[in-house]
Amino acid sequence: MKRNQSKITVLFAAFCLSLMLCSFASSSENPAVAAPETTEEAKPKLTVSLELGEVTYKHYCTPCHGMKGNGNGFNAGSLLVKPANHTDAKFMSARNDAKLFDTINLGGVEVAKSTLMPPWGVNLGDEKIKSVVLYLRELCQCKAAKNW
Amino acid sequence: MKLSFKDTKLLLICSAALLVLTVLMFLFEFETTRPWKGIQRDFVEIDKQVTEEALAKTQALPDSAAKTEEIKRLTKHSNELDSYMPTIRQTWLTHFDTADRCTTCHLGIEAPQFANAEQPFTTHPGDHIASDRHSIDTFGCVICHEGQPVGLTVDEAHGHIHHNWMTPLLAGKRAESSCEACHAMGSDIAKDAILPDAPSFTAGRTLYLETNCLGCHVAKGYERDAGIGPTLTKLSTKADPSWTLSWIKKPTDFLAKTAMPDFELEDEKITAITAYLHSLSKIESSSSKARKNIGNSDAIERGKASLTDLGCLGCHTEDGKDTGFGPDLKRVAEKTTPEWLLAWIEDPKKYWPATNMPDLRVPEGEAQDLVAYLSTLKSNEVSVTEPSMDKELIEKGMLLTKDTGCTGCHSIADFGLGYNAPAHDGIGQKRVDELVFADTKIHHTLADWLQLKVRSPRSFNTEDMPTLMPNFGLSEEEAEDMLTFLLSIRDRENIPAEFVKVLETPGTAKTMGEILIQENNCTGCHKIKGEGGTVGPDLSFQGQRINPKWMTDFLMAPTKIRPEGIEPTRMPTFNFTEEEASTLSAYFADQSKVSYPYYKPAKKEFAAADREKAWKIYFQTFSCQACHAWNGEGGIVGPDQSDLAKRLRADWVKKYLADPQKFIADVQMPNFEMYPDELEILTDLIMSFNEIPAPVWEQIKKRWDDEELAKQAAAMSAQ
Repeated sequence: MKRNQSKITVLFAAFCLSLMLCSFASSSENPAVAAPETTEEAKPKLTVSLELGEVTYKHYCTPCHGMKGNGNGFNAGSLLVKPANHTDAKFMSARNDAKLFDTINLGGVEVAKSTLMPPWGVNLGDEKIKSVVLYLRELCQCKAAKNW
Repeated sequence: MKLSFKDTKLLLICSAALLVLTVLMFLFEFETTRPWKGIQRDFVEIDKQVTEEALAKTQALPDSAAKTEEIKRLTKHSNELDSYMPTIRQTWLTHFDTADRCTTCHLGIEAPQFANAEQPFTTHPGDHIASDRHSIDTFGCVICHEGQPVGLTVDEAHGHIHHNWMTPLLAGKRAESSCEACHAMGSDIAKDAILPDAPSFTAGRTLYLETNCLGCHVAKGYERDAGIGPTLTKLSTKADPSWTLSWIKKPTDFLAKTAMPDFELEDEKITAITAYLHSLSKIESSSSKARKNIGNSDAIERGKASLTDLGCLGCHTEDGKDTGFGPDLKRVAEKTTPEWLLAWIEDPKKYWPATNMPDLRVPEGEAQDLVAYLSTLKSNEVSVTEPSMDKELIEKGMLLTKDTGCTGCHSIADFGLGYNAPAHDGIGQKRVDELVFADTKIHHTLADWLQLKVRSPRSFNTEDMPTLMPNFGLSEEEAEDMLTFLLSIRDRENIPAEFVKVLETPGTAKTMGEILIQENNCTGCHKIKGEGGTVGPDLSFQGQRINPKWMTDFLMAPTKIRPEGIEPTRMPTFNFTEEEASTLSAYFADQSKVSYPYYKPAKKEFAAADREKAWKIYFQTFSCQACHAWNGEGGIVGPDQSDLAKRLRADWVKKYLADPQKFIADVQMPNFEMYPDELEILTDLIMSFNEIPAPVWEQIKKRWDDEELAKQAAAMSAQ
């Protein structure tokens, strides 16, 4: 009986030790390394619309392309290459919607234009970009030769 | 007839026997009809019913070993109930040297199945006693709920009304006033610190501090505020006597949520006080600088926009609801003049050194636009009256100002701040015989007295004892919370040290930072831990992001970081002292679990090839210069990068470059999906910017600009 009891004691001690080790291992993770998470809320599915396009354009594009879309944003002066004029119907109609989408999505470099135009794909996502394309067509009052 | 000795003896024995019998019968009757016995019999009935219901429910379950076990247990319990003999239940609270018999009647207090039963049988709400923290075996009921724990009738046990027991029962949320005994939740904790298990106490304490009860009363451990009302010495330069008159008469008519209470003064007293206050200073002469843009519709439009852009609405409202940290602006022009407004916007602390309003560093032109807009905010025409010159009236007003308690909140001429209202020390254990109930019809208990006192302070006035306490317009619920807080101000010396556990440690970076954040309403503009305004950047991860040394310097003398086009708001100057600024830096570091104050970025040496690669990434691959300036030259979408290394922590820069949106959801910084090696060297390059001499930078930039131009020219000719 005594022998059995000491066996149990040893087992119990081992169990405690392993628990302690576990907690030590988890606490040794440096909390400072953990990235601050912005709360991952379920993002509502966006629908492509002209309104969404306008809001998105005004927030992300106007610093360079201007509130009116004519390429005269407040940051345009500091750029080596002048930003595109989205009210220029001739210029804009020479680009179909797929091309506009690609430019916004992947940046100037992907469509053999300046790297000064950054890629917005990750920030905006497809719905917002498609909406911006709708708004661009509204700005230039023009249609592309071919649609996607 | 003459009685013989024998007869007398017999009679004596008979009557003695009768007496003993009567006494025995009386005792028997008394013993069987004791109120707690009746209560226990009632409980047995209820318990039987509950047990039967549980039994029926269990029998409907599919067969299992657990079911059989449960049926056995319930049946046994039911049998026990049949033979139940009423007994007094007493717990001896070893740590507190007292007996507790409350469970003699409160029989269901620990059993969850009685949650819907009526008092005295209902289960204790919440998990306070269910968890080990406040075990009923250790603390009984009396430690939190007071009362007379050995009493066996309702009145005795609750120490109520007829008995005037010194510590009557604290029922419901009033019991929260006992938390303070073990958990110091007092003065050094931010006003809005939330103690989730004591919502009524927390609300009462916030109310106590915000209402500035300490302006007139003193309480141990609490310091008097530096005057929550503006200084009144220069009142004539700000307001018209007619406004002052109507303001004192009914402050809430002008500002719905003002902290200024209603003193319920007679008109003649108000006239005298107004005359005195306005005699202290002279009306300011009309200034063309302040009135430059008055009536100019463009300027008014610009001023309206500025009110939003500058972040004024982080603290003020302008819809008349007066729900902000600062006063509502809907009728501001009725109160004051363009001259005062301009001076106030340009330097608020000049008029009132203790104001919470920061210096927004508004350029003169913009300030004039703001004044033009604010001057349109009125619903009545403003009358202009000359202050009274009547010496006698002014003299009378001075005495009244001193006696009414105006100095509890306002600094006025040479009067010191404060007022000698009775101290609040020990108010939670005041004896009922020390209280004056006058001819009120309330129960004579401390709680009832306090509740009426805070809601309608003049109720106990008698001719020899008039009180001057003004009416703060507390709602019933607010008064109840205030009561919980006031009841907590009592000395409890019998708490063993092992049970004292401070919930929020006073004096730590966390609590001191929270106090500063609250006092300056940082959350009016910034989000902190998910709550607050959106005028300024989210500060929830500030500690991980910012070099603490830079943050301290910035808080003492803020400058504009983001260009005007993206962020019209600028952080106002709060005139933080170095101690306050470093407390805030320490707070943010503590919140982000980063070391403070030591931060030393690792120095990295570049191989020449890596540096070249980094420049290419900076100028060509991602064209950072398109949006970011260096030493004031270049893009004006993002912040200038020349001194970024002083401001940000390197590990944060790397994390941010990898996924900017993770930190600021709608940031105008693209996610370039950089490769790890790109991230590494770009971060190293940016963090070395402050060491690059200007000529070197210009030389490098020109090289990449030329290359870009050549590339564009080639593309043009190809087309």
